[in-house]
Amino acid sequence: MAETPWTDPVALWRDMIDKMERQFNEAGNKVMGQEQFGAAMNKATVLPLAMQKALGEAMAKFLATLNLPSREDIVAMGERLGAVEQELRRLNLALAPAPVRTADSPPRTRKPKAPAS
Amino acid sequence: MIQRNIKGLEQLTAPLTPVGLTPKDVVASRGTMQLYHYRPLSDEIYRVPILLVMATTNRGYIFDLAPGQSYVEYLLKAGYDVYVLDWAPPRRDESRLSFEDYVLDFIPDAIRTIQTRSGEKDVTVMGYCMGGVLAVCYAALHPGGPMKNLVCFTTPIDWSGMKLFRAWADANSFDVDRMVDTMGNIPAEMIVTSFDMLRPVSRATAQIRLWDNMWNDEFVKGFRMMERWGNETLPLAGEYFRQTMKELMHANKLNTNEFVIGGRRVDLSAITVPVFHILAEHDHIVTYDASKPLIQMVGSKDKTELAVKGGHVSVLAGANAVKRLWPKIDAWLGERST
Repeated sequence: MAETPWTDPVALWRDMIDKMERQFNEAGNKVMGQEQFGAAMNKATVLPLAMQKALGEAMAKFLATLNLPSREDIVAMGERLGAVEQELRRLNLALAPAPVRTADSPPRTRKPKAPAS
Repeated sequence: MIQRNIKGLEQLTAPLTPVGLTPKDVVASRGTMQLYHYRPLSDEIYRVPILLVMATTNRGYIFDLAPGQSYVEYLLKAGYDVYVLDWAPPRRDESRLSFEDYVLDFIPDAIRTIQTRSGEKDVTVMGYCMGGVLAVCYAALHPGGPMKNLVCFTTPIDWSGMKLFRAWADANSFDVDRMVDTMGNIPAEMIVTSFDMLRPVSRATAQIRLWDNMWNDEFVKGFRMMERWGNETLPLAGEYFRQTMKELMHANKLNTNEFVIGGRRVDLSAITVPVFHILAEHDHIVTYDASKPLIQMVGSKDKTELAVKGGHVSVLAGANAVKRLWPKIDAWLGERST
């Protein structure tokens, strides 16, 4: 690779950014590739997950008391709608006419170009 | 400096960069599954249509970024009949979607739609990244057809090659069950963060390069397109994510032909159709080591592997792909699409 001329400060600066990026990424990967890093990171994500679960359960009880649907109820409704959608799709396919080809569809007769001799 | 400042202010108020502009029709839409059929750009087309299967983490317009830098546009002009299997963010009730749904429902459903619309039985399937994983699983479980050719881009097979992801998702500390059982679908932010962690300072240096090139409209347009695509990363269906972590990341079952979908073992040696696998030499996401085994493992006699300079995304959708890769795919596929 050609050396960046020292008389071009902008090119030197760009070169420096490229080098720094490479070095910092490599250093970061070395640290983040260690088993301890993964363990610490995963421990840090467990706490908010546990809190989210606990809060979700508490909210569901509260909503039931107010006679309001919970997230689970809405998800279940969505699943039923999805099943209805799927059945409609199946019926549409079953009723599908002959292949959708019109006079405007290009003919399927193309051949690859012969290689240049 | 003045140009940079003026352009910089313009960028603050600019709307989203338009992408995915090649005209298409939505021919199937079922929750997360979206199937597009692109309108032909050629007076004569090849007999065998193409189904491009997008990775489940991102939007499919990476195949159709902009006029002149669109893989879909290139294929259409080269005379192919192109369909794209794209993904919308999975709904909450779709958190139960699994590999069984993607491989044994969505892909076969897409192929049936293509067969009905085209009148042709044969279909070429192309898969990018996890789309390639879905494609090879489909191919292995449907050895009698109707897949006629298989083209894969940067498809992970040996997941032990993705060392950083494996370190972070270590089975001893990464509680995927708790994550999926609590959250349902895995949020897009988590996926983006895991990608960013592979190159921890690159997001910051990218902004520096953007400022440095703010006067260059082409650079800024390219940057904004890729930034938009990265920002529109998709959530992942919970069960599908659970299987990906346990079966592929932890147990590496795709590499050992032990991955089971719908009670059936995915044995890559059952794939006997012509296969073309493109690997990126500088792929930091699906490393070269992770994708290399595919060609050795398939049972096809007609198989080709091509290692191309570039990263995970640029190899397929970068400006250099237009000359470096797409003509090679056309040369290989044209002969096998009549």
